[in-house]
Amino acid sequence: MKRVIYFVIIVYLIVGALILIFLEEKSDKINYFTIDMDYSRMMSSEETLSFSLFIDNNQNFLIDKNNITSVALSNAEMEISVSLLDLFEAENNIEYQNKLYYQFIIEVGFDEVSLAGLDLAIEEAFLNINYINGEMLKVSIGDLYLTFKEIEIDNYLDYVSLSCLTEIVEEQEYVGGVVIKFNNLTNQDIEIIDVTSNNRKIGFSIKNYYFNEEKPTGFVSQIIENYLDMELEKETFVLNENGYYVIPIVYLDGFEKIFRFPITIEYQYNNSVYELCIDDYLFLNEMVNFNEYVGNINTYIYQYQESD
Amino acid sequence: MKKLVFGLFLFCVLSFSLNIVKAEDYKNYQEIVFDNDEAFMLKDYSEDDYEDYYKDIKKKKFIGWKINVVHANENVEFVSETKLKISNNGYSSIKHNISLETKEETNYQISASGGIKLEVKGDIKKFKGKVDADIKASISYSKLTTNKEKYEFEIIVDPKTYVKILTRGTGEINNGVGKYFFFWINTKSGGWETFTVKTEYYEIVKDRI
Repeated sequence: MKRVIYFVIIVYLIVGALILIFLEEKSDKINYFTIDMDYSRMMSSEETLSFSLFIDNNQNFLIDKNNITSVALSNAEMEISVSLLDLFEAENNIEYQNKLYYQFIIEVGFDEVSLAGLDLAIEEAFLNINYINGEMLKVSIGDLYLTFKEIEIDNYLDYVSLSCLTEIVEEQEYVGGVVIKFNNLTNQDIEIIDVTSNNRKIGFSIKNYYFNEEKPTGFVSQIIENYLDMELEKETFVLNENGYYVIPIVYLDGFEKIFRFPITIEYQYNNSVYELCIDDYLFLNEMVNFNEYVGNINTYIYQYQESD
Repeated sequence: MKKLVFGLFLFCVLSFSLNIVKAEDYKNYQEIVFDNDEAFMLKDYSEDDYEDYYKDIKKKKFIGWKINVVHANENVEFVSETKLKISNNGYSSIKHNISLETKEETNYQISASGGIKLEVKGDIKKFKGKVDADIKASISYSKLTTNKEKYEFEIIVDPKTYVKILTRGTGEINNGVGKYFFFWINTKSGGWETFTVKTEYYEIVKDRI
């Protein structure tokens, strides 16, 4: 009888210890991740940026806005203070590696420092979040290309259609060219000098443009020969507004998923040079299974400090 | 002076209209084209189709649903509704801030017929009851998602013109039928369909009113 009692007590102790270990593990650790993305933006004075933080616990001090004292963007070369405007749950639950994560949006503004007219490139950037208890989360967010400029009304040149053609490379889809139909608001010729973006990973090979009166369809390589081997080549051309241009995009460091970027079209009219600025437009949006996106995901673990 | 300012304000408000299209239903898209010529949508099933597909469910079950997947993972191209339309009836150009948001309920949509019903939980539509899990298991469903983000874009709208944003894209359709058995007796049956968006392409068009 004694043996049975001892056995039951030992089993209780083991089970109790396991439960305590399990509960302890569950409560003192927070898993979270960010996705490295490309943020090419033309920022007006009021414009904000939003970053996503995926976290496996939606009730903890890390995602309480009141606990945050300051936020900054940084990389190896620079750091910029930004203001935290909002931090909220996006009601978008995501399963990643068999674990449920909640998406939180961190919205920041740029009113802490004067950046008007600046063209900022913060590659391999981090978002630094400082908390009242002295803790700091430093999470990778990707590459930022920010042009602080207002979109102005252009009296000479406008566009009436804007979209993209894509290219499939190794079963992945990329933006291969911008399809644009212009509207010459003058009664004189307009010469296109260059097309650029603030994103330093792409360039527009305007010498190799394609023009057709009908809106082109298909992949870029189907309408522009040698697209996949194309180099960045520039040559001016006189605008024809009666059709669609496909301006091929050259990826300077290899193809990358860059779906949203601003475009600046430099043109000459009446012996003066002007710029038509198109705000960062989302050309395409892709649905993904996050488990296939591992290369761009940065996972972190926050460990609670033991209190004395 | 106040009247003049108020008049100008009123003119601006009246001369500019914004039309945002609310939650979409893929069955109302302008166009859905299957890559496979032999595939078609649930809404195009005829009475004879239903009969044939029900007959394909030969084995009975003690209690529960038996699913017949008729069209599996069929790739489609679609042209959806206009996402947004802004008109400028005034006499001067205006600058407008467009804000778009990707919605989970648009990326994965479902429909049903007959004895298979739908239920709405929050923004998410499901097949009612256990048939939801049975259908998802039959089609190897894996949730696709996007990094949910609000897209803001400033655009100039010239006088007497409108700007609209159109969406086309690629997706995948699964459809079929199901029979419910209670003590090996078929008590209800119906059709089901899932529509998953894979990629959306956006186009801005400006034109005269």
